[in-house]
Amino acid sequence: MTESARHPALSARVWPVLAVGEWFKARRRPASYITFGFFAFITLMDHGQSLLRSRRDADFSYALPEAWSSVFSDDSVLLLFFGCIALVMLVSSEFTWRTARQNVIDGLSKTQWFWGKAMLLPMIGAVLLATKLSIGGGAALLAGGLDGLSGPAMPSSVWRAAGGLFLAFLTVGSLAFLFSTWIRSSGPAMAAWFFWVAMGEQIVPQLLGRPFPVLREALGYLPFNAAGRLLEFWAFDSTAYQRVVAAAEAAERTPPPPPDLSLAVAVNAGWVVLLIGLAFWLYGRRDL
Amino acid sequence: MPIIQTEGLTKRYTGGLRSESILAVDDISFEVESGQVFGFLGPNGSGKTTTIGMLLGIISPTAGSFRLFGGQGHREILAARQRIGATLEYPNFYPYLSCRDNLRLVARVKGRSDKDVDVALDVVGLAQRRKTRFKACSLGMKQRLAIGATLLGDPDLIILDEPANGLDPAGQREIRGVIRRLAEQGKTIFLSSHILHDVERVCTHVAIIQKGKLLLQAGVAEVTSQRPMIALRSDGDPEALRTAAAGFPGVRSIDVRQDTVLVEVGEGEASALNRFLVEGGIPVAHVTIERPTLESVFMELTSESTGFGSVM
Repeated sequence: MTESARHPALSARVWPVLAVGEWFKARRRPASYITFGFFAFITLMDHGQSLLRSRRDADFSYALPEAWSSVFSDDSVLLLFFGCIALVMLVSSEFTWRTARQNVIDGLSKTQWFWGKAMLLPMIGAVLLATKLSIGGGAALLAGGLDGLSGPAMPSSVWRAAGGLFLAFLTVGSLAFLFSTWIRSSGPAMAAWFFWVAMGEQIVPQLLGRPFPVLREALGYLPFNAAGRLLEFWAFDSTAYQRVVAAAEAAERTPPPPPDLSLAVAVNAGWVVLLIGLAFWLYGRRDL
Repeated sequence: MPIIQTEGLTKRYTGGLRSESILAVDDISFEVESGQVFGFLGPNGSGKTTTIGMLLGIISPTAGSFRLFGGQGHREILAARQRIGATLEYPNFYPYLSCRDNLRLVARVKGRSDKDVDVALDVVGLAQRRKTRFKACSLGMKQRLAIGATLLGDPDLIILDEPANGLDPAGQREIRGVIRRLAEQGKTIFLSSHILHDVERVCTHVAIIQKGKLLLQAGVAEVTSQRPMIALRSDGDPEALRTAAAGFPGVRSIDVRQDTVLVEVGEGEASALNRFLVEGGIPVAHVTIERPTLESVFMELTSESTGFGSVM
């Protein structure tokens, strides 16, 4: 048997090995399933409440496909938060426990180790998204059933919104990944990520927004804010957008501007590439 | 072809703006040949782990180069590292996983099966504790697990950094046995240890490093055959014996330890010294040739370098 055939690290076989390994470690770690369990519980509470209300209140409708606008709404930010917590814990602890170093000693290259960890981003995003879709969609299905459906239960806009939420998670997750590989300790990395999101992207734009409106506009394209443009269902569904505009006009509020999805996707994708690239550069410069 | 060959390997750590840079490894060049059991010795902080870290790809050298199994390029080094099994400092595993699951992860990276994992657990005596979580293991068990992981890929070169740390005397003896068995199988072993007695027993070659500089590289037999001392004892006053022995023309150095006088003379001059003393009326009750131990050579070299008697 040749060396490359025998050792996964010397061939393309290393990528599935890394993916399976990361999944194995995440699945066995109590902290990760507590995080996922907590997210599932909160999501269940949220949509379960709507389900119960629809049973009690005849005027309240919670049925597919309209209910998707409740599934993809502001509370999608919870997915981002829980996903980033899980990510930081899974990545930073590899440095604390020195298993990152040991993985390289065991035969991985530093580059392979890095990209193996980066695989956690889509993995965590996919698991949380599947959890959200199944709980939210399931609750709406129980509330309204399939009988009254005029079209598909999951129209194409739902898939686009799911893709948007997934990309939004990749964006803020990349920021968390950068802090995890740079700071190399779970607590401080999580604190840095939260500080960036809360202070850098919420409070600072608010403070600077009044004297410098242009700056406020520009800060709206920072990672977390850019991800926020992909969280609302109406950004992906023209009917839902018309409903939002009508509701705003009825309440004499300024309706949100029509979504520019191409720009939002491009900005988010750009942040993912930039943040992961920066994380890789910083990681490569330091010893394990 | 040397298995490990370093040329001017240097590592300088530079901290922040105000902190000084530290020269951890200073222009080290050495070679480890196939089949050697190579002891890598040095006081704490001497640069042993940094040197090993550079060979294993977790620390980037500041200057110099190294070859593993003759290969030097990135791809060649990565391929060569697949032939190495190594532990560095403290055993590093996932604390929430069992011993077996930790080894299964290593096995996947090394392209090995779960069956190999069970064999490795058996070899290091952890078969009965395979389900024990790593965080619940004693230090001795952790060390055994690390050695098990090292053996998993059937490596040609085994690098062990303080493998006997935390082990009881029986465990230490077991580790020596494992090292001997591996050496008999033709494996090249690079052993970093503080237990000089163990190194002397199992190693064929040795290098001593201090403050990042290589002080010595030689075969263990060569080191311990250097500068034999003649140990003399008489029924009388050792000081009188010392004074008399000091008069021998070929004396290079002389020392008194308790009731024994240790004299360093030229090769083959032991009987001449004995004759000299007897003819001088000094009754010599006991004459033996004492070869230096690895420990005495180590202490001598490192204390000369530091100016301290004890550096361990």
